[in-house]
Amino acid sequence: MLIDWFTVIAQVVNFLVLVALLRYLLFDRITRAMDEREQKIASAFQEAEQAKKRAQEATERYQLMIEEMHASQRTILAEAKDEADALRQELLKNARVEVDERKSRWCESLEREMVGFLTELRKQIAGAAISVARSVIRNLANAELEHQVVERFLQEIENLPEPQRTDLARALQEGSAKISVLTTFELPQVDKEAIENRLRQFTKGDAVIRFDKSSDNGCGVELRFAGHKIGWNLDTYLEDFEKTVSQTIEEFLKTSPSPRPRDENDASQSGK
Amino acid sequence: MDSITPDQVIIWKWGVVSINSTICYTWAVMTLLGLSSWLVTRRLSSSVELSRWQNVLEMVICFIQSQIREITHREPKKYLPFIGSLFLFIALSNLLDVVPGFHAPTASLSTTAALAICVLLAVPVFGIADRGFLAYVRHYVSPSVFMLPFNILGEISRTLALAVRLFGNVMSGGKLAAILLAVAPLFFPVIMNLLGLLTGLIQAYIFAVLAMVYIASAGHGGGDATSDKAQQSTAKGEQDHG
Repeated sequence: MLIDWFTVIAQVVNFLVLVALLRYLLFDRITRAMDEREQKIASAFQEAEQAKKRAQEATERYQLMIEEMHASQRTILAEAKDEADALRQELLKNARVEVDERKSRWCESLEREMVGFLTELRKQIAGAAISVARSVIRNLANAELEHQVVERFLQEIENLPEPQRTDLARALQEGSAKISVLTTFELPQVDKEAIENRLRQFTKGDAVIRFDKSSDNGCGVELRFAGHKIGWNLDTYLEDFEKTVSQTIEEFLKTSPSPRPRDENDASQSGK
Repeated sequence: MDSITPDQVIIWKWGVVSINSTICYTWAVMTLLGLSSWLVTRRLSSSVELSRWQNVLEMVICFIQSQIREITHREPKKYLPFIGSLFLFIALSNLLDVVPGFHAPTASLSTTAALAICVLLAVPVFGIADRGFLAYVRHYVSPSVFMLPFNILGEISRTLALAVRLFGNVMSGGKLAAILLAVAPLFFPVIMNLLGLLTGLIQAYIFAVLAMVYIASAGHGGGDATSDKAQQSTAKGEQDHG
């Protein structure tokens, strides 16, 4: 007999015991551990999904912020560029104006200096020329020259115009009028008498004619009476010479190129 | 050569109570299973880092669960202890058969009959738990009351087939290995032992799957697609063994 019924019963019992044993020791514990792990993994996945979602949102938010920052940056840069351009133009304009002003002032100053210099030069040249002429005349003056001067003076009186001739006659006639003859040199008596005689031809008055010596009078003779002044001396020629020199220099100033403002390009370059 | 069944090796006897090697090796297998289960599950980890043995046991249990789920289309939690214990006990017994001096308890018709009786009892238990008593009893008289004896006969015959199939395969494997050991002691026994390992696992798989099919068919009302799939699996196992 292949079947031992006691063994069968014992094996049934053994198997039931084994089922209970494995259920307690193995299946329940293992399935519980697996379920717990599954829940943990599921929760971890859920957390990871939430974290991913948050990260995605944060990424989108930061992306938006970056784009806004870029836009703001572009706007700020454009504004700054516009402001810089405007400031540059303004500074350039101010610089040009300032350069023009300085140049204008400088030109004016230069012109003033030039005018002053030329004026001074004219004075110096005229003064030097006159001084040289005076020195030469003084050095060359002698009795013959003085006599020639007196002769020239007498011709001037002879050729007086009618109004002055009338005034002179009135002054000589009144007598109280002060008539003086100024000379640079001491007149000899002959010349004095010649002058008195010539003057008394105008009237019969007994006016007193006084002869004085004056170093201011250049080389010549001068008659002063009642506010009139008639004479001839070398200063007249020298004054004419001085006038001629002054006119020549002024004509030179008018015709010579005055300092002008530079070109706009030069000004802009200097402004830069 | 040993006797055809280890039941005949009596270790201790007192009256009708006789402790034979079948019972002893069954206790050994039970002790091994229980001890290893306790050793592995005393420090279970529910995190993603787990020990090597726990990983092995979880793989085995996941495999059993997936098979139960495929056959029953239900959550395997209710059936897992019974089916899992069947599979683990038969598989370990058959695998240990290669150990010299060990006689697989499944090579005893008494053991296989006991397991088949357990299945026979489990079918109505799970069926009644699933469908209720009346609904379960009613399926014995469906489609007609005249089918009642045939249904009962079918229950008994499939239980007998379960027992004899497992017994025959394991016993024949062991005996074949012993015969070949006597004829060609150097090479063939190794191959036959390797083949015996494969056969033992397949037989454990077939027994567990068939038990699950019977239980599922009782729970579902019988004659559904799960039975067809199980029959296909069984036929495939038979071909492998043949």
